Amino acid sequence: MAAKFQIRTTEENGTVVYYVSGPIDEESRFSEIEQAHERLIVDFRGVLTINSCGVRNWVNCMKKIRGLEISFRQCPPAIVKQLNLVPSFRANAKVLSVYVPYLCFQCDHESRLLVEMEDLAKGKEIPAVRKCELCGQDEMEIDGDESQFKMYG
Amino acid sequence: MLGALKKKRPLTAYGLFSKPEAAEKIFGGARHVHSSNLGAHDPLVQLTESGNGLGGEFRFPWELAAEARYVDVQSAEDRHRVLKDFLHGLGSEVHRTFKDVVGTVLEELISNAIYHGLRLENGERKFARLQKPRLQPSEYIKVGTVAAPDGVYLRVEDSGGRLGFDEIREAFHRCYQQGVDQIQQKECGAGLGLYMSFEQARHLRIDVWPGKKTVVSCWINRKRVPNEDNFSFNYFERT
Repeated sequence: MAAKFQIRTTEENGTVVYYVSGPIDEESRFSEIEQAHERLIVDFRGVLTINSCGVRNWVNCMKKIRGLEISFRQCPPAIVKQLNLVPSFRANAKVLSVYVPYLCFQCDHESRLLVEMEDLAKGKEIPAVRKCELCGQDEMEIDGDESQFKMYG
Repeated sequence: MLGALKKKRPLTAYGLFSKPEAAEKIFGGARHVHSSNLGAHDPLVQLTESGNGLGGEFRFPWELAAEARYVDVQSAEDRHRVLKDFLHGLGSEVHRTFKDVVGTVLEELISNAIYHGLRLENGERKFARLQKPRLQPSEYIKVGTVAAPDGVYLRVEDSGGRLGFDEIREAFHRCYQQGVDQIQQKECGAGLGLYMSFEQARHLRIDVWPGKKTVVSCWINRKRVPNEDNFSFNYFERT
């Protein structure tokens, strides 16, 4: 059964966290987030895909909460792509962390590394090459342009 | 006479470009953009030039139209079935990020065909994005896909023949400028689909038989390859 779009809400240390998951498309609505009135975190880890109308719906949501302190975290590559292509997708939000995809050139295995922007701002580098947990070779390289994952500053 | 001939000749831009630079070339009127460090000596440029002489009747090396598996899309709901079947057919060994990219591009191309390609007689869009239309018997959308070891070829043909070059110029310009008007609030869509597809694809080709049919096809690499800056855009208007 296809995953459905949904938003789950929790609270962490006094900040409301919205877990967005499933496909974001023309039918996705962000009314819970649009009603936020204080600082918030949006956790994108569960997002599977996002299409152009989903991007528009999200951007319209961001316009409605303009002025709030917004942070994005655990952004998968599909979200990172939009952060790079559509500036208003991020607007004034702070990106806390992104998933960087790696691909093994030896065995084609894929994995993702969660990178904290705070660490990058402190000078830590995104590893260019990683050891593949499947074949053991040091052949895992970033799948895509490394610069697109640097969202700090 | 010579001036008239020059004016009619589709402009080809070649050199080493970024995608935003290519978009500027297209905005400037280039119907063919080939980014390659071979410049004018790139075989693809020569193929495009000769293809123009043939009215676009030729195939680029990545085009596997003959081997493509074709399915018809009869309704907006069909999009999801076609996408699901194709992505499932890629197999579990194909990595997730690549599947996401292919899925996004294929969905955008099919959606473009439904919501932009098929129009009313006066050129107005027929459907709003939240509508789930069924195609009329006189209309068709045909989706061709090929999963090759090094990438994926996607081909979406619609019976509209309405995708004009000026519309593409405007869309790329608006999207790559990344200004406040980047996203459209039209009922038929956000105006980002072709931009998102061009960004993800290595080669994008559009053939339009005005008022008859449009074919949008692209090639997406399976993994990073040397010469990441090599890509192409081609728009052929055919009679």
